[in-house]
Amino acid sequence: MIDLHTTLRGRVWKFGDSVDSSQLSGGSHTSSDGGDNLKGTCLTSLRPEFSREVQPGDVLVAGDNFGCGSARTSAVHALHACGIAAVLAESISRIYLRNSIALALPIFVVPGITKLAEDGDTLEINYTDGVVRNTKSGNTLPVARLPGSVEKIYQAGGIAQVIASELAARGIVPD
Amino acid sequence: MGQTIAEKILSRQNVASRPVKAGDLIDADLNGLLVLWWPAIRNVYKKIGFKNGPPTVWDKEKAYLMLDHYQPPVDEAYARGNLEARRDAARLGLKHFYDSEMGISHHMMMDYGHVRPGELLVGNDSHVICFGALNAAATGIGNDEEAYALAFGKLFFSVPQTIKVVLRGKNPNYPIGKDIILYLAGKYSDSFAQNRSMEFVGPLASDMDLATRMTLADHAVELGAKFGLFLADDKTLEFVRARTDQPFETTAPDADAEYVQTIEVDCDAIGPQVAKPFRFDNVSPVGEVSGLKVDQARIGSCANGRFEDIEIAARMLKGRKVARGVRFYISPASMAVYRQCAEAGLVADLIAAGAQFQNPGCTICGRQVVLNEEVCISSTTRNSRGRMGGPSCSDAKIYLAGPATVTAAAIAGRIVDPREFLHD
Ligand code: SF4
Repeated sequence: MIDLHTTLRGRVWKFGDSVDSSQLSGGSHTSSDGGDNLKGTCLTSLRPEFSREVQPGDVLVAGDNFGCGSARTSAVHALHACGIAAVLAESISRIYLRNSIALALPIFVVPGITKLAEDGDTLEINYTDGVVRNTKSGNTLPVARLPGSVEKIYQAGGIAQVIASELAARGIVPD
Repeated sequence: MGQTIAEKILSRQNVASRPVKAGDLIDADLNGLLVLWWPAIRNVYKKIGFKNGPPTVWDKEKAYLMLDHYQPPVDEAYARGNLEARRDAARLGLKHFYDSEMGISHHMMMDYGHVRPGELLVGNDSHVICFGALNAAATGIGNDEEAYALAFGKLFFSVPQTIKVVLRGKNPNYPIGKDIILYLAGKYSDSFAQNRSMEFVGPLASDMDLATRMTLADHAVELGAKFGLFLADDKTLEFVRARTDQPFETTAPDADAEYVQTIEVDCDAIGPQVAKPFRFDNVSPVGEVSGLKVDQARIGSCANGRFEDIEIAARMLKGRKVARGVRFYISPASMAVYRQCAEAGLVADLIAAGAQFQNPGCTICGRQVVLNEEVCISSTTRNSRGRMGGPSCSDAKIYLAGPATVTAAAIAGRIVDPREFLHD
């Protein structure tokens, strides 16, 4: 489960506009839900050092249309594999946004975020207060609250867990 | 206040049976679910303890399981995935299971009559959006949500705002869907329709054939859209009624529907467009890149693999040959399209002219390699880094263009304005 209300602090990796799902998940050769080496190929076509240097808890900042391209969930699994704690982007492709929710990767549309943070800065994301802060400059931007139904998917730890509990409510459980 | 097509379809499918408007967040019942990547769906169920895959489906007649993309399987993992799907389809009693058929699922769905006007469908692949050509609201989701939809037949939707695109101009005798959509991408960016529905209307939208509508609807997702919709007219009804006797309700917007943006396009003024590496919206008129030598030319994919897209290649190649040194690949969108091409004699003519026919399916659009040293001009869907061959081919140059421009390049050996070859 993911508690959105835990304040996150993470080092920023900054990317531009239209980072697409095949760059996130290593081209078209991976299977739809991820190959073996998701971390090793994640974003390396844009920044070769990314997969080597990324640390658990880092955050990803991006421009417009983050995650565009195919519907593959491996593009989200890849960021999980890299330990990315949250994604903040100017705008996010709808499929990527839905997949991130379904897989409980904290993801926020924050207009202006690419001006708030530079590569290597530290961002503090306080979902409860609805604010993201650059610890160096002290500048902040608002983070919008997600709809209740979406918060519930995060609480469950992803849509798979929601499936499990709704099936269980109908008496269908694994044997 | 009136409603758009998206608002009408989502109102009809709203679990709470209330009319909706843009901005509402609702749960909606699905009319159909296209299921791909079966091993990935099984994996979602494995995560929650169902080691033999989904224990149940919401409706045996509305989940369409297709083993598409790369058939027949070329590695053992794929073949095993097919085997599991075969067993699971029987266990779950699925009425519609297409076992290893070569073809692009989205077109098989339309060719087999599983897409009807006014319906709401989803699938775990972004290009289900092309069903909008038949007036169906369809959008892609990921595997985990797909697993949810398979069990419960519903999903949450935010009701999108709609962009109205009014197409004017004359309908030429070659496919111009790609040129129109690339022009829109170049002018407004590859995300301007983010999360929105697009309605393609106007005199040219009604004059154009279904294949051209499919190109536009399919590529709506390359502009970020949730739905890419056309009205249902006589052409739509003829196509659908020849394939199914299921009832449906065509859906048109109200006269006073509210649009977030209206774009008028004079298509006569567009001309052939090309998307340069590595973005869909890195677009220029063909003249700006003409002269560039090409190694490969490709016609196919869910965007441009219909009969009309292949017929233009045959027409342009009549009395001509593919240039030496160019590999010109053609892959029909489905077996139905392949058969149509064969019956019309196009396959023989194109092979004689030096083109190479390959299986219907997705290989032409992704897995088939373009090396870093090479240039490929393709009517497929995407030109991002590594799209054709993976990360080690991330400098391979893929230019996207309509089938006429691709064929012209195959004839000339370099990118040229296809209108040179279209007079006769
Ligand atoms: S043709 Fe290409 S874009 Fe279309 S479904 Fe197949 S792989 Fe995807």
